[in-house]
Amino acid sequence: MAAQAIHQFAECITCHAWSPDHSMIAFCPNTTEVHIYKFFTDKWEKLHVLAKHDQIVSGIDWSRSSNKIVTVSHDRNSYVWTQEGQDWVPTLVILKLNRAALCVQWSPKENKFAVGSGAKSVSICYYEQENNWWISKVIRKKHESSVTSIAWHPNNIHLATTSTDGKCRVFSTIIKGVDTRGPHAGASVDWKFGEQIAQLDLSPTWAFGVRWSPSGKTLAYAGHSSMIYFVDDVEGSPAAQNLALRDLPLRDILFVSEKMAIGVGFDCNPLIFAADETGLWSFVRYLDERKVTPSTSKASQLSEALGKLYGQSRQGSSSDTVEPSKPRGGAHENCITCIVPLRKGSESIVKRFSTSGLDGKIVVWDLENHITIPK
Amino acid sequence: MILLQSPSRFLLQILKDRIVSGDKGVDIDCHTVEFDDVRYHVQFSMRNPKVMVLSVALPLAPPEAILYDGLPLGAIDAIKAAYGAVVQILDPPKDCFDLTMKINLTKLPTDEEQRNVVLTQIASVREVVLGAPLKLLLRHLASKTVAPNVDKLVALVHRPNESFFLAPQADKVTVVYPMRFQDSIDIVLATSFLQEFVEARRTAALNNAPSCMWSPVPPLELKGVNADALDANAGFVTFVVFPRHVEGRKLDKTVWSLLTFHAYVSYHVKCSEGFMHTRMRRRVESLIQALDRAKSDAEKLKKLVHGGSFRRLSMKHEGNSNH
Amino acid sequence: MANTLRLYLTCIRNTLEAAMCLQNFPCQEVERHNKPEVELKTSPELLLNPVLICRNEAEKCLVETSINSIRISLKVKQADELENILAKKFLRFLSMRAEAFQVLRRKPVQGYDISFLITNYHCEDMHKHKLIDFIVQFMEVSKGLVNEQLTARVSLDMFVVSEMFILRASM
Repeated sequence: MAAQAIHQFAECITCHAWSPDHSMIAFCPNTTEVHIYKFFTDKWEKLHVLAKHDQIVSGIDWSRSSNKIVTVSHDRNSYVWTQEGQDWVPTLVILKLNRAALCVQWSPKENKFAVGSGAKSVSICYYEQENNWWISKVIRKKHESSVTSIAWHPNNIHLATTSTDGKCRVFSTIIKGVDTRGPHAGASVDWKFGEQIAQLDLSPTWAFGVRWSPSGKTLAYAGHSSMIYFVDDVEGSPAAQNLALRDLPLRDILFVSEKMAIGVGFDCNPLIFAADETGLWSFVRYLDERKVTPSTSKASQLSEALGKLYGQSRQGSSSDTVEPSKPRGGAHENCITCIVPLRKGSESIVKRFSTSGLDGKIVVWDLENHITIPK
Repeated sequence: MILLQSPSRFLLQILKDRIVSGDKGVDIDCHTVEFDDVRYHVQFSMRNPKVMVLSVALPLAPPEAILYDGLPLGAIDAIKAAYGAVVQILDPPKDCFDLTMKINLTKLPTDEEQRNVVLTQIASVREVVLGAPLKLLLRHLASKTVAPNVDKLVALVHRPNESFFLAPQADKVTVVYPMRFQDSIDIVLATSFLQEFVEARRTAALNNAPSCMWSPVPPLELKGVNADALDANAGFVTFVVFPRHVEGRKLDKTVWSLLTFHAYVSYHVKCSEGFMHTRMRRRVESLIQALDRAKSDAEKLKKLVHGGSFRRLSMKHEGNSNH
Repeated sequence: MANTLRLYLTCIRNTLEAAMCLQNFPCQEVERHNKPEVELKTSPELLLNPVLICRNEAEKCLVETSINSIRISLKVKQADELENILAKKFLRFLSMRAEAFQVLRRKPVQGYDISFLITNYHCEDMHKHKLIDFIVQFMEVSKGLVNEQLTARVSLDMFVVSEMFILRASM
């Protein structure tokens, strides 16, 4: 079984993140707090409660090197939490937002973090040593609706965003004094902070879950019309592949290697995607074997319904029987909203990862013995 | 109880209790209403223990139904015939009532069974009084004649300001009811119900039952009747009664049935409504339960969360929680 | 007759499966607010195409979806006056219990007999497939699978009662 461990932490989980050594987990139980649990011998115990926000915490990220936790909330605020002894000390970050913060991620070098917001903008925050605080620079242009997810390119400068305006964009976040010219520089030196490098208009409806492949050559994101898009060479001449999903849309994506990605969402079961030698992506299978596979006729009926909602024509045929809705079955009982890698050391291939969802469960998945991961 | 019974259970109970109480007893001063159209007032005082006074208020008569001294045709004769010396009619009747009778308790038969018969008869005062003209006409039908000095179409009081019509002939009497209901739901239910009468009559054909018809418009028999009397929102029901339906003991039963037709229909319409309400309420409750079932798992989880138990699935990576 | 009902309900079920993919989404227009977008309609990009499923001219189902909420409106036609009255009574019973039926919208959408409003919060609390089952079951009940039984039962009772009345006179 691919699901290695399942734990019910709450009734509903918004998002989660792991400590650098994977001994602790931080998550938001759909409240204004962040709970940190540590695993002792045979069970999880609540160690800390980070309670500073006064609306739901929509994003958590835990940096691997610097061991800092950043949280963002619908209350428009962000805190960077630093561990001092037994406590976690918050530092307020002025994001300069007038709407909810929706997502957050540390940059690969952990000297910046990006926050997507309902103000149709992205805040890039960096630490100013002299004043001992975090400063925010806002990318206000281009987005026509809320920024639902963000992803850092390995070069620590390019940032991909998705929005409810259906588009995926790549921006430069180069900040003087923070981003030094180095071997990564190259073409990115010409771009100023906040300039849009690329815009992808592939999805007819809302876009979520953008991620870069480990090398940064491929970009993937999900469209709510049950699509997943794989785009190569975004900054140069983008080559996109549109994959239609069999069932319901995705909320988040993870690249486990250069040629394999996992999508999670409303199907409540992780989907495995892989690229062949020519770079052609396709759906492999669902990860959780416990899923009750729907019949092809049901899948096509769903397709037809999706087509109507999003104004596209998709093939479908109707059936005579009214089957009762089947519970999706499997490890998760409700929509999976977040997928986080559990990397061992500096390995580029992700063999284990965790998912959290609206059912309040966090499930740890192990790919090692279940599928060969193409590099 | 499907069929309505003639003696008023309320009156009968009061009368019986009075007899049973004997010397002990309290003063009685009770009012009651039957079928929403007839009022009774019973009085008894220990100062005058030999007498009970019963007053009856009849439904307001519509213009086409003729009353004689405030009572239907033949009512006084019928009372005298039914009760004899036990009852004395007081003239004038009490205020707001159409008939007041003094019941002489000492004149009741001593034998219990016979006495009950008389008390039952007194409790059936509605049938005696209101049914008098109807009985008159139907008695003639039993002997295959027509009562003298009777119009081709007779209007009798049915309910407050409503009448029903009879067309008496030697070999049959046609009875027509314009049916009216106030509540919009009652109208629809009653209309369905009345149409069932016609269906029922078809299957009862072999049993020599009176024939029955329903029509949304006034039937031919009512030609010439005042338009107000013909305003019926639940249609018109017509029964045709033959001599065999009023022979012997059947006469009283038929009179009572025809007299209280609207009450019968009304009663069953209300029963049906009650039944439907109960069923609907149950359906709604079951829907609420279905919704609760959709929630129940989440509620149960609240108790699990604070336990902190860890469910391991794969035994391959023992003790590997710290990676 | 039964076939078209099955098709109708299946179509509605599939539409709901696809449309009920909701998520918590804070209001873009007003800070710190979180309201059902399908009701507010302040940001058009957050709404999807409404889907109208018609069984015939008088019976239809409108599914309006947004990013965090879905509105399902039903129009039900009854076969005759009696069923019409039963349906009205039934809907009145329900609207009086709107509190218990959290997903019921107090007032139906213009042009419809009853409306449901389901938000992401309902989907967090309840299993999606059970919610959909509930909606379809509700439709079966209010359409009259039950009503047909109800009126049939009532008709039978009335028949029996009429018979007794008539027979009394002949016995």
